[in-house]
Amino acid sequence: MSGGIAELVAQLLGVRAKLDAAAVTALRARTDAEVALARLAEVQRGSSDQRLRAAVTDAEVARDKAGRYARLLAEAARHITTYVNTIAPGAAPTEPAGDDALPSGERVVTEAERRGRRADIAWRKQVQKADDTEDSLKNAETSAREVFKFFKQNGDDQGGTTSGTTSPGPTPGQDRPHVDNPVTAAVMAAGALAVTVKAIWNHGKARRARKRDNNDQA
Amino acid sequence: MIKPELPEYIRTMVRGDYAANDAVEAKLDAEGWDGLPRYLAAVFFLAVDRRFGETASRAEVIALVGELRAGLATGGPEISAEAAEQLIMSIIDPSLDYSMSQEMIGRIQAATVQKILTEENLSDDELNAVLAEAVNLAARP
Repeated sequence: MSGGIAELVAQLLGVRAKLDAAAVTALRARTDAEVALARLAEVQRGSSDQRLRAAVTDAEVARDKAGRYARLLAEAARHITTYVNTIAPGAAPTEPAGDDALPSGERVVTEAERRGRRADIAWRKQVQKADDTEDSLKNAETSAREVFKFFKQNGDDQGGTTSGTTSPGPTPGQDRPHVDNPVTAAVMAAGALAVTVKAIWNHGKARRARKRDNNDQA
Repeated sequence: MIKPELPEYIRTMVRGDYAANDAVEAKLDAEGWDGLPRYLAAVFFLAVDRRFGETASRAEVIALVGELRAGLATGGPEISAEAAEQLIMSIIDPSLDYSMSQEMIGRIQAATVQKILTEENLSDDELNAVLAEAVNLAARP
């Protein structure tokens, strides 16, 4: 690679890293807005206050736009990858170098959306089965609760392990702080969701690790 | 919209915090369990995806189902091995179909969620993230 091209590639990779980071930020914003909306709806229950309705409307627009920004940023990063690999084949890895690298925004967006689509398919299938056989989803609810009740009665051999890898969970009775205004709710939701992207990333990491283990054993 | 008691119900079950679970259950009994089937389906999806991804072998699924059934053997609701394998495989490979009652689906989903989320040894943050992602999945149009 000549000096001029090497410099250009380095600059483009720098831009791509910034786009990736921005895509992750936008995806976080979208997820946070989504959860804040759910909380808002909860808090809003029974109130027809114009300001709360306006908050919902604005948050919905923000959620949709943030999702669009995330996709566009990831797309822009992808175009740069393609271009760089054309002028200097192999110079732009499509995956981050190692497991400790930050997740590519493109990959995070793609994985989350892909999971969403697969979950949609599974749910639609379940609803379709209920329709086809004139069965009721309520029956799934009843039987699921029976299983959980059974585990509760049988105590320790089923559930009940606490991982203890982080701070202990909240004590019973104080599980959820009382939320009395939508701003608090939105802030809480943002805090709770800060880990989501990390979780998506860890998820992929764990899977890659498993794949490696499998390959080692093979 | 998923009411916040539903993730709390699953969280306390997985953590074995049965006193807290009883309290959430009482609240849901009073206010209604609306949304549980879809929320449970979303948690089930994430649990199976977490354990198997998109490329698990039938043998791995059969082994898990064997353990699921063993966990219910002492007088618990019965789970059909074939049904459980079908339902789990349909998550791993969305092109696969199944045939079973909603009653059986509910049993399989509950037992699988409890087993996988318990065994995965999740930190509190990780468990909360899974339950929050399930809220998002269940809110999709």
